[in-house]
Amino acid sequence: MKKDAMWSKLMGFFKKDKTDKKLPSTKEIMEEIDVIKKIFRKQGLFLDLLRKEVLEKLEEKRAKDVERFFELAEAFFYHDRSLKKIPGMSSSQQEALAIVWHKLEALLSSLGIEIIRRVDVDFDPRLYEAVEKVAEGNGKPVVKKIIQPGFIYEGRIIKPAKVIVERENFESKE
Amino acid sequence: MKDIFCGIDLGTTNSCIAYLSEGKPAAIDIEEGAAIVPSIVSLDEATGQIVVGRYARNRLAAFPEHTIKSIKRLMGKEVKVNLGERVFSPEEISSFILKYLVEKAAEKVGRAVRQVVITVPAYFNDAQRRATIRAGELAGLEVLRIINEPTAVSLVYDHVSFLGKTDSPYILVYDLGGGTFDVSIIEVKGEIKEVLASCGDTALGGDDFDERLVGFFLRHMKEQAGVDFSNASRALRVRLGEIAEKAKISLSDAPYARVSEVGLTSVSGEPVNLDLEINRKDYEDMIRDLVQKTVEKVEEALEEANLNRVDIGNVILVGGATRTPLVLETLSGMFDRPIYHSVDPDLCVALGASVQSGLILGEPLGHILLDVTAHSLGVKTADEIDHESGDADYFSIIIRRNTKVPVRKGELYYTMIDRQESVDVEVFQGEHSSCKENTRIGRFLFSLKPSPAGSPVVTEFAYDREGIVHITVDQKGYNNRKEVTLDVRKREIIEPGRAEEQKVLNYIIEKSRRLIKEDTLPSDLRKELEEFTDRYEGAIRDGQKESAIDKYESQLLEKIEEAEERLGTVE
Repeated sequence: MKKDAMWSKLMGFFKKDKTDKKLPSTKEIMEEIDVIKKIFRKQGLFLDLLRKEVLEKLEEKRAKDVERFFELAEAFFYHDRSLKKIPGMSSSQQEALAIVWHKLEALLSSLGIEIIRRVDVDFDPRLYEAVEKVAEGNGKPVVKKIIQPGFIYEGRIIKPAKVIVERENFESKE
Repeated sequence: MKDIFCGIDLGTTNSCIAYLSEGKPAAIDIEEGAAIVPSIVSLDEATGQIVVGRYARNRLAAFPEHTIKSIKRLMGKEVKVNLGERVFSPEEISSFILKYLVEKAAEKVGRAVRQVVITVPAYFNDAQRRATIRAGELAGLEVLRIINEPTAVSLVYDHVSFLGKTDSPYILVYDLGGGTFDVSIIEVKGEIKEVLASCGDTALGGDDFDERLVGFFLRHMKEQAGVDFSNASRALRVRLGEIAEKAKISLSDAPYARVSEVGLTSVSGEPVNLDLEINRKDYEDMIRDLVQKTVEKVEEALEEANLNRVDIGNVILVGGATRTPLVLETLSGMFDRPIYHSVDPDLCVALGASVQSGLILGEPLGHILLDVTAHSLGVKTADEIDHESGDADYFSIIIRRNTKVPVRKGELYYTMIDRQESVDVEVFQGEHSSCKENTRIGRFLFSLKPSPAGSPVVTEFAYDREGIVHITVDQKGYNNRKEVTLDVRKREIIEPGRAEEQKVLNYIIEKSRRLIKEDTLPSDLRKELEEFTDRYEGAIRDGQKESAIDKYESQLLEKIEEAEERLGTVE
């Protein structure tokens, strides 16, 4: 009785009639195994296709979209710098730029993107590529100017920022 | 676990490591998904550690006294290199690069690397070769062999399955990198490959192409702002260099490159921007003399080898700068034969070195099966007329034969008359300059907006691995585009939406067709798979009974499983 119940649980759909306690024949079981095998094969192939055709394409598209955001952020970085060079920029104009930066960085962050543009910080060769050095000193190099901003995407450094660094003298600082 | 056999391209500017994966060479991604690693070494005094690659490159300007690049130029010389207060020989510096590559490769592949083949330029003398072996030993490696870079490249192409054999034993390897140009002629005598001639220019490369574009930008900025920026700051030159490189890459595949850059510099508080379009023709005019210089070196190598152009069997391209269409066209014209550019030109030296390691250690080598276009693809233009019929009959190639797919390429064409109403876009495949001798695989009409004669129309082909070409025709400046999908195998234009629908419906067939293309699939199994696939596809197409389709489907699924088991690709 217990054995029948197990069959009923595993191969329930063989039991057309619940009162029928007869076990399925070997032929029926083999047929069923074939059906199950076929389902698995089709499922495997479908998942394969899903990965190749859908997920990979989505990833490709996402990478392209991210690239566009890099371009936009980079363009705004240079625009911001140009505007700040115009003499007599009012404090409210500067505030407006800061607000737009804040919004842009929030948007980038929601997409997993971080722009590397901070200056007056210690030079970290993982995040910055030094292309020029000003002031020879014995101090730690500090990022003085961003020539080209860098980007981090989902924790990976896609492009380090190209920068000018400065090494000040410890003594002169004191 | 078994070791892997690696080949290392120890380059002046960049290095690369490759290994044999089931008999096929594959480059190993070392840094953030990139196989190419800057050949730069730096000593981090704070930690006392030696750092290599991008990290070292990023430190170069900040710590010039602790960092060294282009150490290859010093190999074999009795000189010392200072990194901060520590002193090293060129071999030691090179050993740091080798060690970094093998350690990263072992980490990536999950297997140890102990034996390697390292490549050197054909012109390296004995001292330089011995220094390279010593560098390998210092890195704790067994250097199986030192081979010439052009020889390594020819080894890869020996194993590319589509490459036709020629009667000539002479191969010309044209290597145009970022900063250097080398040309070598190899003679193949059975298993032996001998370098007959080798010459080049150590101060000519793709960076010079960038410089020409930078010059063009500076002239444009001068016209715009009225100020000469030729003595620009380092910051501006770095940025212009980046813009130039991007434009150059873009012009390799498209007839135009758009440059839209904000605030390059400022004059009296006013920003100087760059907003322009460069067409390939103008760019090619800028670099023509540089390409000509390489042609002269090719002639020199031919003379040195005592050969004529017609003696050369194959011309192989190496180095990223060979992606420039003008280089390809110049060499194709010069040798009047197809030029192969199918293996990644940046990686093929390392790939060839890994093939050599396999040959030395008796590893079974498979053919390198590449997804390449079997024929050249292009459109019919009126550049030549058929004298009998008076019809246009010129085959203008957009994607060349043996180009690795997926690929996207575009060409520029012009309307012939004022207010031309439409263009009859006829797509052909073949190798003859006359369309009559080639095969037409698709045709469609593109309606034009009224415009004067000579208006530009850009035609772009994007060829995917499934043999589908997405064609875009764009009447420039008129906001008039048309996109069409062409199935090259079936030679038919697919209506919008149908292509995707067909793919999804036939995923079993898709999988089977992919397996059929596998080079290592036994021929009997391939034949059966082809037969079962055709039968199943035919049953669906002809709308046969469900039971018949089901039966064929089961048979095909079983065969797919069998093929996957044989190939060992079951995940």
